[in-house]
Amino acid sequence: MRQLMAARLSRALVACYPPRWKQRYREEILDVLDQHRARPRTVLSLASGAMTAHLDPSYRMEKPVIRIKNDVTQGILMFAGGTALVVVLLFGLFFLVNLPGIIKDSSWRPGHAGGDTALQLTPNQRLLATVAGGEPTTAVVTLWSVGGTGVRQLSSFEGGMTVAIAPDSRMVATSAFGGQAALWNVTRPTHPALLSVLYAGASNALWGEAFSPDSRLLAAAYGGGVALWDVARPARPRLLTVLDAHVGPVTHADIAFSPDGHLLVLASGNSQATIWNVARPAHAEPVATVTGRGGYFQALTFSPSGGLLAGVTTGGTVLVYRLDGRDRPVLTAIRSGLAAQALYPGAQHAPAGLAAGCPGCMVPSYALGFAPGGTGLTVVLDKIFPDNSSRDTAFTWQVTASGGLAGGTSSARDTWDGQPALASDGRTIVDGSAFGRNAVGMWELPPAPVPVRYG
Amino acid sequence: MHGKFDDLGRFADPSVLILTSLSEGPKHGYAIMTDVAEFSGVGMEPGTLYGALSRLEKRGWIRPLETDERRRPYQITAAGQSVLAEQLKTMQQVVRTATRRTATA
Repeated sequence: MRQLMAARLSRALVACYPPRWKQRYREEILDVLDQHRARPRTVLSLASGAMTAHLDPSYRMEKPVIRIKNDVTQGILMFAGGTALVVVLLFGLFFLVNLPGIIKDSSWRPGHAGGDTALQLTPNQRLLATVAGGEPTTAVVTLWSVGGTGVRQLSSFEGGMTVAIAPDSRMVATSAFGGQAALWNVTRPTHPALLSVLYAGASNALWGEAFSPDSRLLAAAYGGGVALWDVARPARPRLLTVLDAHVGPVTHADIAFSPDGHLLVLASGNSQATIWNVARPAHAEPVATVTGRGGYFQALTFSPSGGLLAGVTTGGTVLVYRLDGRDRPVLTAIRSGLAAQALYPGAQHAPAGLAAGCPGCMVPSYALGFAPGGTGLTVVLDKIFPDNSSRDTAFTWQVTASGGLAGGTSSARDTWDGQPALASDGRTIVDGSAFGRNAVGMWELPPAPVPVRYG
Repeated sequence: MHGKFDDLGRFADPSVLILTSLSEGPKHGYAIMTDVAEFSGVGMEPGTLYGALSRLEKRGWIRPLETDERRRPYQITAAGQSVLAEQLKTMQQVVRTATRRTATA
């Protein structure tokens, strides 16, 4: 709260600089403030800078708007103006220091962690964001650096339920205490700073968020629709439109942009996924709907060329659609029974007729992704057993030129018990940790055996 | 153009840090802040940074380059390099004297 107030006061103080100074430096300093974590001393430095700039003769206007010839009147006015400026600054500082005490948010408990519900890697696989806590107002977003030597925790900040990292690694979208989307500046991931809270007017829960590939658009999926925001200037996001889409009730609405940013696919709680044309975001329109099999869609992704859409449903069925016509997706491949096969670590195929579930098992969490170039498709299934042990099972197929799936291998590993994520290389798997352990783990699949390029 | 550093008064430190940062090559405002924080541990605030940039520009010790969207990179001038070298020489003399005196104390 104090940080948000400091950010707002800082931006307001930029307007207090002399007009000439603002003509020269305003955009630059606002750009710096977009990236800088505002603190009380940021406000003080800007207040001091504004006063100093007003005293600098080179920034005074050449022709004052009102010319006052009477020295006594001029003195009185200068005294009154100076006093008013000091009063305003003291008033602002009082609120800056005391507001967190006046408006206490008792729901925020710093340090609360455990139970990863969402996680995402940047395309360059160097930064990972996880959400732990799983409650709208008590969750913690943690940033991790991912490198050759392993995973290292960088910082934590407040969030809730959902997280998305911008592909340019400069922003993280999460949710604020009130359930709205919130943007954080993570240019310095060790010092994340709140940029803005996005009020879309929706009172329903925020289920999922996704950035467009150019990081200029944010899609925030609420229970009542999807808000599309222009976040090219993240400190001043602009609501473009709200898509009239049915979202939920699901625990994690998967939402993804196509690689060219022209299409948006959104899973809904009625076993369907809707594809929207968002090439002109303010005039977005639905172009097609696909229906899942074996439950709701749990994860959706486009191939690197944008010609294919793949999804996996709660029961462990993978579906691939060709989008040549875009308004009429063609189902090109279907593989079912993954949840049943995951009961047998290392097995190539589960026994025929095996039920998808097991008594006492939790609903699996899924991740899926195409290999670079669209040569393969991998689905990761995290299944939690009645004794709370967990196992990641990764299924990989070659993708044929027509969009079919060929071959098929699986690898399994007893690992962390939480939501998995698949990196953009299609091989690195990151797994969060449920049940209180604030940690993540990584493992890597062997290279694909015979690449077959699609398209 | 000014030639002496001491007329910067209490702003001497930010100016030295900024000129040192720009000695490596042109940088925009936020890049200067992060660079200064990395090599000196000083967390410079935007108000301080732009106050110092404005003064350094007026003295001809740095010059603005073409903007990249909202970001304008700054480049140190020959005069700026000369003034920085002079200032560093003075600081080195201070360090040598302080080291010698604290060692014998």
